[in-house]
Amino acid sequence: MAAETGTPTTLTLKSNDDELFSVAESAAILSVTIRNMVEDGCAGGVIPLDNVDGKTLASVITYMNGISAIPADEEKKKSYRDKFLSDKDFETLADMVLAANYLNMSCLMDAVSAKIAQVMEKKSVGWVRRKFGIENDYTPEEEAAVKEEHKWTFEGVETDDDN
Amino acid sequence: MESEHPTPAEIVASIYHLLTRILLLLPIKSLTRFKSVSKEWLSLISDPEFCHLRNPNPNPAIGLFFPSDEPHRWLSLPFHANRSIPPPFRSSEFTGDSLGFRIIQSCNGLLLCISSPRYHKNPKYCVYNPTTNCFSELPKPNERIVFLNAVCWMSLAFDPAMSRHYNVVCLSILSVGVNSGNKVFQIRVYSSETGSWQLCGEQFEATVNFDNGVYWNRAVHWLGSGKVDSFYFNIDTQVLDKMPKRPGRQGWNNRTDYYFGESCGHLHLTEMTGPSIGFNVYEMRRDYSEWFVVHKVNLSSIVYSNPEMVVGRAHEFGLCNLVFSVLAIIRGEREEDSFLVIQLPGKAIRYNLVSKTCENLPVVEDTDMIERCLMYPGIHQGFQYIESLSCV
Repeated sequence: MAAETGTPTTLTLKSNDDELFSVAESAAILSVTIRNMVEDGCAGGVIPLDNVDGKTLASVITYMNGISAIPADEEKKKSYRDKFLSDKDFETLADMVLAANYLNMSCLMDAVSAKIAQVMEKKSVGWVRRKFGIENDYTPEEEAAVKEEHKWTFEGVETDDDN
Repeated sequence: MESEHPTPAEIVASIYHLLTRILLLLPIKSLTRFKSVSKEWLSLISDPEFCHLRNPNPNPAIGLFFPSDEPHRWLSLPFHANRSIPPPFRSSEFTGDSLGFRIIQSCNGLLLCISSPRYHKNPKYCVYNPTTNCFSELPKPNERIVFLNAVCWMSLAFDPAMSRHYNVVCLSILSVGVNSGNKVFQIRVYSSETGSWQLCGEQFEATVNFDNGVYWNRAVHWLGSGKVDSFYFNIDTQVLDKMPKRPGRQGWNNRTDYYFGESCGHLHLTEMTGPSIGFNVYEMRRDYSEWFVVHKVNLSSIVYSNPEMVVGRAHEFGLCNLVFSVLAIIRGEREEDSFLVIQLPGKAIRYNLVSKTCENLPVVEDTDMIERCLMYPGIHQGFQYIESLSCV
């Protein structure tokens, strides 16, 4: 890691659509992937992040800066994470899970996974199939049987009108 | 449905560890619903390892099953308005006959059931998970053992925090001593891991009835009455031992009304010792050294708002006979979430043990039937419903 020189070290990250971002090293190393690169001395120039697009990377960097500015206070960190994710739509959340996975950021991963689960909680089976692109491989009879067996779990499900 | 350019969510769904990470955070009710998404999701959500990971700890009960006046039907009484509970055996009837079944024990999400009627010549036992609606019939421990209620008792021992497999303890009477009149017992233990029964230890004599076993602290516990001792059988050491004497005021011999049950790692006992406006909730220490008082319950506020529970004239001590029964003691993750479920004539209420406030249980369907079935407290016990994906 860079020696302490008094001025904070800045890293340059490059998204897969060639956008460049400057970020303080102290915030960027929340990503284990980036930290490993820094420790291996690969951070001299630009760090290419081939699996993350500019829009998602901008969001992740906002998160890195925001969360690293909060001192060790789990309550405050949690409330920051909740606020940060509150306005994100489902596709953005999915992008962020993939980015958090690639960047190896477990705290972001946990928060986004929990947020996705919260969005899914009251959704219908049809909504889940559409959003995750899952093919229904049940025959109509099989599907009716498995639904009948767990009939009580279909109470209180949101109406299926989301595109 | 996969296109050339899959969406981020489609990619997430195709990466096993990302998808399971999200699914493990869903409520059990939602997960059970999503078994209908596809066969792949069904097998993922039914996978024993996944189910084991998903079981919360601690996992307090969110409702009770209570017998109805129809043999093949059980009432579901949820504790909280926003948490529905399934009806047991709505679609599957493991007995295959119209006489229905009885729940004999609830243990950390699984129910031990027996086909009715009570003294059926050859009843079947099964372990049932009401959340997943799956059951598994138990094999007979021995061809010569009669599965008769009066000579053979079964208890379930299941602790998902320790293992995803369960045990069933069977105590059967081999004979009755000619001189002593004591019964001679043999213990057998079934393991769901091996699917077989094993003999445990030597035959022994006892006077106790091994029914209504309660699992706690790696052991099944049976409460003796009057002068009869209470026992427990440890699943790991396979040793049968005596428990400390039941607490409570001496002199009241007819202790007919008590509650004995487990919640979130606590073994509870209440003793209603004659006419009194309150009672103690006791808990057993893990080292079996004593029953200690965890809560003192005063019923005056409940009596005040539910005068129908007072019967007969004022007692000579100035107290009345109260009609009620404790159906459950539920411990929450936080102490202030702990409550009693008390049955009064025609209804059940939740009594918070810390704030000492009462609430009616949420209104569900069949209110007439529930009122009818709850009319006489003390006749039937309830069985805790605990959400679980555990495989049977």
